[in-house]
Order: sequence, then C-alpha cells, then structure tokens
Amino acid sequence: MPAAFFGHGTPLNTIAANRYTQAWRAYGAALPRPRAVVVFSAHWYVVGTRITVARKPPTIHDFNARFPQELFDFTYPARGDAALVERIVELVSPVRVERDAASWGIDHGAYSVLAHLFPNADVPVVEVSLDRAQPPERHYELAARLAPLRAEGVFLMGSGNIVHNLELADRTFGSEPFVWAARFDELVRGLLAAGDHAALVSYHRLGPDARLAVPTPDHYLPLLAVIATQRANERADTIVDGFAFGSGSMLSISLAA
Amino acid sequence: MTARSAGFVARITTLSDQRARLHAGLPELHELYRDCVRAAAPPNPQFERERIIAQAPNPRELVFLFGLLNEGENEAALLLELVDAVYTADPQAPVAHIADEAWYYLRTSIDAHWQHDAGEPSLAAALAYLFSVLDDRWDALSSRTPSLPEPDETSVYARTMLLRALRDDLG
Repeated sequence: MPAAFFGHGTPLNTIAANRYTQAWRAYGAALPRPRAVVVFSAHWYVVGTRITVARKPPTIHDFNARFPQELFDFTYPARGDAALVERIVELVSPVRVERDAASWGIDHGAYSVLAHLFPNADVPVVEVSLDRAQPPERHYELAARLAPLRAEGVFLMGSGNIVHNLELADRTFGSEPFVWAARFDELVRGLLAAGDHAALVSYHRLGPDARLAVPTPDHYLPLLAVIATQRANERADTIVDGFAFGSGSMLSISLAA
Repeated sequence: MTARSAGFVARITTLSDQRARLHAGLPELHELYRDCVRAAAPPNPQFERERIIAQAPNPRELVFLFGLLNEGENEAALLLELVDAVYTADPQAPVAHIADEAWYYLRTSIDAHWQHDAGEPSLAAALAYLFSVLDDRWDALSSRTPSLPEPDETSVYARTMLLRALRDDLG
C-alpha cells in the first residue's frame, strides 16, 4: 500500500473543487482499496501520543467562525477501527499511547483530504496525534514502527504543509510563492528525491528559509511520519503541487515503488 | 517595568540555569494569573470567586479568556509550562524544539512580521517578559472597578407569567 503526504491548505478545500482536490480525488480513485487509513494530522498537535478509538469518530470543526456554515455542517462519517488501534499500540510499544475516545475525532487536516480520497467515507479512519513535547526525530522513529501496516493493507497518510507560515500569508500573492518559500519547497523536493531523511528530520538546520517555512513544527511533522515508512525501492512522486497566499506549499507526495 | 516585575527578574536572576529559573518562576507567574482573574472578574457578591480560581485546572486559561494574554503569549506561556514538565520528568530530555516554538510565538505576539531573531531563545527571558507584560496589565486593571452587566428590565410580572406558563406547558 502506498503512503502519502498531503499539503491540505485551507479548510475550504473540504468542500472545494479545484486542481488540488481534483488531484487528490484522482489519486484516491487509483489507490488499491485500503482496509483502513492511519492519519497524522497537523491539527492534532498535543502533549503525548494519542490515538482515536471511537467507533464513529466525530467530525472536528477545528477552525474559526469566519468560515462558512457549509463547512460547519460538513461531516465525515467514517468508522474507527478498534483492531487497528490495538495493532498500532503494539507496534509503537513501549511508547505510551493514550486511547482517546472523547476529546478528538477526524479533524479538518484529515477530512479536507479524505473527503476527496474516499468521498463515501467507507474506509475506517484512525488518527494518531503529534506529540508537542517530542523533537522531530522522535516523530520519525515512532512512525517508522508503523511501516508494517502498509503491508497489511493500511494507507498511511500525513496531512500538513511543507511551507506553512500563516503570519506571512498574503492573499494578493494568490498561487505565487514568496521567494524563500519556493526555495525551501525546492530544497525539500531535492532531499526527498535523494532520500536524505536525516536532513529532512533536522530541518531546523536548513537555514533561514527553513525558519520562515516551518516556524512551528505542526504542519511539517506529518511529512516525517510518512517518509519514515519509505522502503529502499520507493520514490516520492508528486501528486500535486503549488502555493497558496505566498507562504503555503500545497505539495503532496506519494511513496510507491 | 513595575516594582513587582523588577523583583521577579531579580529573584530568578540569582538562580544558576534556565531550568531552575523556569521552575522557580512559573509558580509566581501562576500567582499573577490568579491576581489578574481577581482584578478582571466583575465583583458579583453572590458568587464565590475564589472557588473558581482555585478549581480552574490552569488559571492561565481564565486570564486568556479575559483577554489579558493574547494568543501568542498564551501559547508561549503554555510551552514554558511544557518545558518545565518535560524537565521535571527527565532532566536530560531535549527541549530546544519547544523553546524555539515558544520564542516564535512570543515574537509574533509582539509583531507578526518579527520572523527572524539572531539570538538563541531564552526561556528565562520569555518567562520574565510574560510576567512583566501581565503585571503591567494587572496594574492597569487594578485601578478601575470592573462592573457587572446591567440587569435586564423585564418586569417581575412578566417573569412570573413566564415561569407559570412554562410550568403549565411542561408540568
């Protein structure tokens, strides 16, 4: 089963038809049908490693009130997968995992993409949190332990943005990137092509562009979770790319042989 | 800087390292949060204000609710607490990534475009900064009397009729 990282962009992509969502839809349609999806979302960034265990995880509308009612009305009614939860807990042991039945569900980082990959919401979804207390290398190590799931028919996805700086977002830029954003995006593509995971994990050493592109780790860490499961014979293929408002990379990649 | 803030800075300066400064200073910051809630909450004589202050899982969240910390300051303060918790659990644990994030939130709480900073993040400076700005706000708040909202003007008769009608409807 492939694994993929998605630059999810605005929550509005949940209900939008644009070249990004069309590319995600085409990618989902071409995927072998997974038995479940494990998601690392930028928007479940908390202290500790948690995992959703609800039989029907709630749709989390984790965005501000300026978004349209249509987005608040949206639901993604995928089931959870209790057996998969236990398998994940077993694989990451001895890392302590908190089973979360109530505080979280499927957030917009996940469903803005899942709504297009699997529009019928008929594939079970389990989210795993990003641990705010842990450095990037720990996220990479934890996700690497989940690599066997891919051979078990589980689609592993990360959802974030390789370049994500909301403070500098400028609507007048439309789909054009800032110079530094384009440089960092290109640098990451090169490192992905070279399979240089060590450099990608140590992104904070990649210079001033990295400080602008990844001001906080939350949107970048899901990329590390995905590449941690990369096999030696796999490439990182581009699903779709582009920029939003100058400082948001929409690059999405798929790992497959 | 107020005299209380200056005293706070002087006290943590005597400690030897960032970890000790953070661990010793955070309880004082939490006491300042409680002072801010006392100063910001309307003086409702029928409500036991101290109870809600004492029972709040974290008084910082009440301070944020009252608008006395902005979002970036609140995130930075939360991350300082996280560093202290991580250090307490494991003195050798890496915390540089948390300090980076806290410093970023503090910078952008001042100016969204302050993206670069030549120096390394300082947890003690972040703590002292938060104490200082919050103490300034407490000082300004303490000089005025917060007021309760005006009572509504619905008459006793209308209220009585509403309650009776609801009883008739609902049994």
